[in-house]
Amino acid sequence: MNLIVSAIGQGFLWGLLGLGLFLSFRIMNTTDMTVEGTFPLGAAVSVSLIVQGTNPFLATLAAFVAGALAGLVTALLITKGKIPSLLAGILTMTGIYSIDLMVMGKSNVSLLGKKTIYSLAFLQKLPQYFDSVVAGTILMVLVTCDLIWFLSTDFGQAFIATGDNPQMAKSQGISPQQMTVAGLMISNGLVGLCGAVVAQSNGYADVNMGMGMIVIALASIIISEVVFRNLGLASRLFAVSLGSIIYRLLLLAVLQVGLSSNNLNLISSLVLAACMMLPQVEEKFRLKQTFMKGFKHD
Amino acid sequence: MTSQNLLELTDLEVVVGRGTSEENKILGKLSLKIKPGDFICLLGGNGAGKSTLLNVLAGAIQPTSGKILHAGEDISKESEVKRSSYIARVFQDPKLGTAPRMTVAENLLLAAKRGQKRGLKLRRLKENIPAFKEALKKVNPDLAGKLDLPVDQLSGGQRQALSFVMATYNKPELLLLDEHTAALDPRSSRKLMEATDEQIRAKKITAVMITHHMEDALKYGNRLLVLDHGQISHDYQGQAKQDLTLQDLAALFD
Repeated sequence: MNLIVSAIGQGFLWGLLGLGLFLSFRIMNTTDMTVEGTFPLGAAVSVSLIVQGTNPFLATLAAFVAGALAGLVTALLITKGKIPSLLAGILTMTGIYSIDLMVMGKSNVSLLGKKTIYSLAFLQKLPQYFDSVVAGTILMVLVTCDLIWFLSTDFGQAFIATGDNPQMAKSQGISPQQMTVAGLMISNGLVGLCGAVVAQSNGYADVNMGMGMIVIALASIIISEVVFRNLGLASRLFAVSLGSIIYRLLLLAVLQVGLSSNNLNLISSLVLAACMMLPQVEEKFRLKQTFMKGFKHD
Repeated sequence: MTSQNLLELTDLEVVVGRGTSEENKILGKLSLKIKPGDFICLLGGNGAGKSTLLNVLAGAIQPTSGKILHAGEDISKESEVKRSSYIARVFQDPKLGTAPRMTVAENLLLAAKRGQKRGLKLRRLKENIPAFKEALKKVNPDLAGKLDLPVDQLSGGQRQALSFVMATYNKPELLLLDEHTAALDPRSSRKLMEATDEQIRAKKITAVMITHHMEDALKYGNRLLVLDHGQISHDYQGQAKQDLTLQDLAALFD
């Protein structure tokens, strides 16, 4: 039971990563590798600040800003440097590794005995593991509602249109470059925020904790799309967090079966690959029709 | 002076692959004055430079040399994004003019703010719905009932009609039509062409339209330009255009 509660809490926290990537992957139609660097950057910045005595909420906010700046770097490489977006993300991600080491001074910093965002009195009164569920839910609702608001403003609509059809955007007077900057900054800001809350939940920041982030983020998006089909944009954003929870529960199940946590990255990739291939497989074997036939016995 | 012209193109040149053996002059020393209220049909064979001329007007291609004056100001270096506040465009490919995952109403809302600053104010979609319905009815009545449908569920003809409504929703100073009915079946094509003509007359829009249909070029507009090897070979205006026959035109392309 505790394990399930913990997985749900982690799912909410990691859902921020999925939301961040949703902006770039689904709305802007680019695969932004920067997140593999922004996630540990958010962790490194927040943990280092907390260790130095900064208020944990300010430190978490700083992680958002640091993530947004990393997104800005990638965006400028794409728009001004004319570097293909995939490579631009890889360049930033690789560079950030050194920045993380500079920020932390060593490869791993512990938060042992420090106050974090989970040290709030009302969270402390909750039973074990429920603190991350409650904190995660609050964060998820706040961030998701903000995103829904943002996407329904004139600016947000222009942002969506640009991802849909950059040529159309230009002829409507929307600058695709400006949208790339805004989109990658918000997206990576959220990923930095996610790094900060996960690091505080784990109790440490590690320079290598960014490994495989893009796969985890995509997994929550794709799982949510496979499980909850045909949603509007607002419900879709909420569903991404649910996808993240399902993904955590899947991992838990896999560990319970007896596989070692060393295999997690392999399993994550397999889960994502399977989900992404599902539509094709479905079409090939007409699975849906077969299932439907199985249900209709009239 | 120049003030009676909406746009004045002087010695426009577009050269690609300059300095290489592949150097190719697409437009050569082209000059053209577009008056307010002109409805110009642009005719010419493949490679004559029609699309390039339209792209230069829209700002998608920067001319190699020459000037484009708009209200006395040289806009030849102004970007496509900036020019969108007074120039609207409908592409040949129905996919290019609309955002596929957004609904018909959302697309129209984007068009209603063409060229304007877009801030962090809520979009206010509902208040615009009656006006959107009204605008759609005039061009393609079927569309008026599909405001909440994502555009990728529309037919090519409906998408093109929507693109046209979007381009003219806020009256542009200049409307560019790049063979906008060419990708449609004959019936949809004719219907959209008729609606186009009606709207251009009703709203007194200045327009440049590329077409491959000589019949359309004769039937519509008050001016006909024939482009050949990057230059204007014929310019028929007013009465001269009305007196043209299909035989005259066919003879030009033999």
